[in-house]
Amino acid sequence: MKLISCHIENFGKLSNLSLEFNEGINVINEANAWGKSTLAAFLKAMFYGLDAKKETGAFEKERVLYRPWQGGSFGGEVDFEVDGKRYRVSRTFGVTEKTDQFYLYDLSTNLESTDYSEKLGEELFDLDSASFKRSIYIAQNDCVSDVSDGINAKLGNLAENTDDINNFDNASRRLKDMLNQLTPDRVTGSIKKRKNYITQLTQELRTFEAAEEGLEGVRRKEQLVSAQINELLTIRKSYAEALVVASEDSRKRELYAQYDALCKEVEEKEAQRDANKVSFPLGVPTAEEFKVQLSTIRKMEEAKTTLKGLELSISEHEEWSKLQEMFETEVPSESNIDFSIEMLSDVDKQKEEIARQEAKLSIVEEELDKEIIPPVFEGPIGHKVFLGVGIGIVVVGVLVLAGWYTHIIPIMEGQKLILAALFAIACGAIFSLVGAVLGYKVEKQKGEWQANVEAKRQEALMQQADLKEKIDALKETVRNVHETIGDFLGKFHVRCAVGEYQSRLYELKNQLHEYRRLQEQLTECMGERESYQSLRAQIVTFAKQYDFYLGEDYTADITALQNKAIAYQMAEAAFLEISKKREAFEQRQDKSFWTKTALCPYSIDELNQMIELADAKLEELKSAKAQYAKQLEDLQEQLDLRDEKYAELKEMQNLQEEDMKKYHIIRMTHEFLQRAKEQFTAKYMDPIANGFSKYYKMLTQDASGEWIIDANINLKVREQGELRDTRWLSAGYQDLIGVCMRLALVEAMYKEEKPFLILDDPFVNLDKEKVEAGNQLLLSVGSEYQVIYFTCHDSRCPII
Amino acid sequence: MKIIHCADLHLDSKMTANLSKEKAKERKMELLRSFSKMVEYAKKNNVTAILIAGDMFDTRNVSATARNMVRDVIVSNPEIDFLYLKGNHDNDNFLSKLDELPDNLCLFNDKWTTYAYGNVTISGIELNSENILTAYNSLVLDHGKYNIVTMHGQLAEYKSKDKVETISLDDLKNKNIDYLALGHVHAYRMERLDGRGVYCYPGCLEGRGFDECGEKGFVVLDIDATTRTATSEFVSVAARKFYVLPVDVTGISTTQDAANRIEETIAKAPYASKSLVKVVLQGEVDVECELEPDFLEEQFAEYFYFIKVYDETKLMVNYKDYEKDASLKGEFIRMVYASELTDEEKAQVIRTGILALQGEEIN
Repeated sequence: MKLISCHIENFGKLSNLSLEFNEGINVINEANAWGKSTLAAFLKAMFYGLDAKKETGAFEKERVLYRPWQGGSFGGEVDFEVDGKRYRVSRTFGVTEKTDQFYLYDLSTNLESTDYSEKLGEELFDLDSASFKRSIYIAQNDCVSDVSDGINAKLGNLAENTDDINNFDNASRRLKDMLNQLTPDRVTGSIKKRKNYITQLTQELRTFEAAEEGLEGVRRKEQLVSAQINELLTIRKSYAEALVVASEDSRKRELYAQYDALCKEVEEKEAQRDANKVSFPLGVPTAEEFKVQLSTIRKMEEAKTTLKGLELSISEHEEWSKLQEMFETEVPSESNIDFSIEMLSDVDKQKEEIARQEAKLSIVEEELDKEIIPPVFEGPIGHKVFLGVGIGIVVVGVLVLAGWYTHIIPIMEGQKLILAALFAIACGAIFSLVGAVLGYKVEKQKGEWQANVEAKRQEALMQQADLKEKIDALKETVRNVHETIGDFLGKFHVRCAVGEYQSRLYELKNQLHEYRRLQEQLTECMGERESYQSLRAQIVTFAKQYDFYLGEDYTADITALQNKAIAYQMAEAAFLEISKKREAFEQRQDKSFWTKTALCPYSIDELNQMIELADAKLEELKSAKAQYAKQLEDLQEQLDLRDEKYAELKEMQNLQEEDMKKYHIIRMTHEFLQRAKEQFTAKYMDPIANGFSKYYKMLTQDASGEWIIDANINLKVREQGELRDTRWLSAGYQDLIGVCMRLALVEAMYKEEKPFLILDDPFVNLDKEKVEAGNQLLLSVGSEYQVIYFTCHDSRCPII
Repeated sequence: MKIIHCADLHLDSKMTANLSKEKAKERKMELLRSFSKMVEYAKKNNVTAILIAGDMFDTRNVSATARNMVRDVIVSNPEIDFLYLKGNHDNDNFLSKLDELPDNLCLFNDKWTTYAYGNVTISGIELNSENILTAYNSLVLDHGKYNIVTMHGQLAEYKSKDKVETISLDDLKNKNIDYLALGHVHAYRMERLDGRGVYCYPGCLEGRGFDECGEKGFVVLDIDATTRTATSEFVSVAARKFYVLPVDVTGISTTQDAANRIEETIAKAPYASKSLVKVVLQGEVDVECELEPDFLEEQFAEYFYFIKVYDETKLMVNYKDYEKDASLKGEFIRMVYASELTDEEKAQVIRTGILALQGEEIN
């Protein structure tokens, strides 16, 4: 099969691109990112369509990846030749696979051809899309050496781009590890371990089988004991009932005795009451009545005692008669007496006043007698001295002047003398003036003094006349008082001298007091007597009402009666109380009291003994039941544990089942994978070896065959007499061998129709010498395959 | 008059299935709380009696915590009668450890026992292999009363691994039963018994696994004793719910594709974050599809209280794709295809082989 041309309408980054292909090598020398891998994908898409699934490790599905950026449908066409016949395949890709369009034209007729279907690639190459892509597309990295990667040294690395054979060892190891982890054949395997544990659990569960039986057995025993307890409880209940009957019998006997005693007591109390009632034929006074009567008697006695105390003695009677006589006409009031006493007391004061006034009068008269010779005014005499001295000095001065004037006195000394005389005259004049003023004042004082002396004398005269008048008035009053008091006393037959007036008035006052006291006493005595008689009448009436006969001592008689009444009332109360008791007792009793009681064959003591025995037995049985309950609890715990273990066993069995299934699947997987690997390698080993031999010779010109490929598609090269692993070769050399391997793979895989090859600059990392070898290899390949060779540098362009 | 019908509380259940120790302990407490929540509901709604139709406890030996809690709840609600019929999981362990039976704890035994509430009667019998034959004929109910009958067992149509008696609905028809309160089946179901009555399994109070999904709770009967009619209401009380979420991943290529499908499905079924969810991947996926359930579990771990991802996808192998594959993989697949393995085995072997070759995790 060879490509003739292609036209890319839209595919990824490529748009409206037409390419013509020659036989042999087609070099496309373009810069990186031109779209070489897109072109490779386009060519694959034209033969296989777009992959529905996302490729492992790919970012997106092809349909998304190569959809034009501007959107819309995309695709193109490829002209190719198979078996001398030319076709054109045209594909348009939509959003989904359903909208994809596929056309195949026979270029000789330009009519649609049905030689191949949509699965054009598979029909042409007998390989699926992924295998096609993996084999015909040799990328840069396919030849990059990495000596540290042992896998790179494998001839079996033919499908390095694929992920399976490369991972086989790893996958196989992992599966084996899992099988080892799970294995039921070794003690380290989880299935084996779990199997052991399941066996252990099963054994343990067997031990619990007895627990179920034990539980049933203990439960039966416990039920038996419970039944015995119930039976015994029934017996005990009947004992208790019998005890009740016996107790009832005993109780009733006791009750009858109590009832008889009550009846007897009622009769006794009734007799006592009747005996006490004899003293009261007309009824029994109440306690209150007795209380009232006794109070009345007490009051009567008190009245009697008071009466005795109030009655007048003989002397009091005489005094009372005397005083009645004295106050026959008029009973003075105490205030009148006091008034008289007070008046008398005033007379004494008046008498003292008279004496005082008379003393004053004598003093006044004595003063008047002294004023018959008037006294002389004795004033000061200083003014006379001043006047005399002044005049004397003036006279001396005048004499001196006169002497000068008359020249008696020499002129020589005249001037000084005149001055002295003048000074003396002046001083004398001043002295005289002072004396005259002082003399005037003395005269004025004398006049005043004389007027004062005269006024005093006139006042004494007037005072004398007043005193005399006052003394006379006082004396008249005293006389009148004496006369009034004398008349007052006379009304009560009292005759005495004035000097006795006071004592007789006080005596009268006392007599009046005594008169009043006696009068009150007599009145009180009369009232008390009436009260006494009234009280006595009440008691007598009371006694008559109840037909009592009272003696002298009312209190004793009534008290005796009261005691009898109390005795009666107590007897009556006792009778009523006991009657009520009997009545209450009768009411308390039910019908059974009035009927005869069934007799219990056992006494209470006997029954108590029987109950004690039953209780002891019950205690014993309860203890046994408690023990059984404990055993039941233990067994139940065991059975709970059994249930837990059973649940665990079930879980373990489920897990075991799952793991067994898993183990089976993994084991089958491992086996199939191993066999597949063997078959796969067997299928491709010889063709690959032949292909490799051919390309290896082309590359090395070595026809010695100093290399072998083992069963695991490992390449070994003879170096210095020994077969060595290719990893010992130089890196560049390894890369070239890698390319040979890929070419060998293609040769092995495409048995029917030779495909075209797309080489994406596989020698980019080789040095110049190796690039040359690579180019040579490429030229050799070009003779067998149509090659589309991408490179971005002229140095790696083979010279065609 | 209101009566609560509940059953299969399975208090003290270990709850260890699927869950870590800590979460199992938490769920165990939540189970106890659901019981007390139901009693609180009864208290608030003047419920006369709570009828427990068996399996109040899960294990033979009841823990002190559960025992004390149940006892305290019963004792502290003296106005509510607790009618407790023992189921196949119950035994005397709870009752025998009580110092004295609370006055409001009413029990049944292996003979018909009836409790009357005016014109309403509640009769029950604890079935065993001995009384199962005579139980039906010995049941006599007054036609003029509203009759509730309670039993613990499975209907003939159920298959159970537990040792439990089978209840014959046919033998209970036309017996004047108004409401047949059953226990044992953990899902709510109410259907007509006969012309007069209905039968009902209230289900459990709290789901314990993915076989007990959805709403869980109890049934409240509101009975008009005069007219002998009743209305019933299912009350959900579960703290958390279990859900199985099928996710169709047909055609996906990667785990991330599956994650996107799960995300879309979760968005359409908005379960509470406190839920326990089992995602079941279904549909057909290509044998080369890379699918990692563990990774998905980790990815969605924070969405719910608990999540588990099960891969139940069917592997799809298009053998024609590999007919002309000149590679070890092609050789391997062609060879497996030609083998005598079952189709399922072939798919699994191929998938394992491909994963191994790709260096992917083999699950």
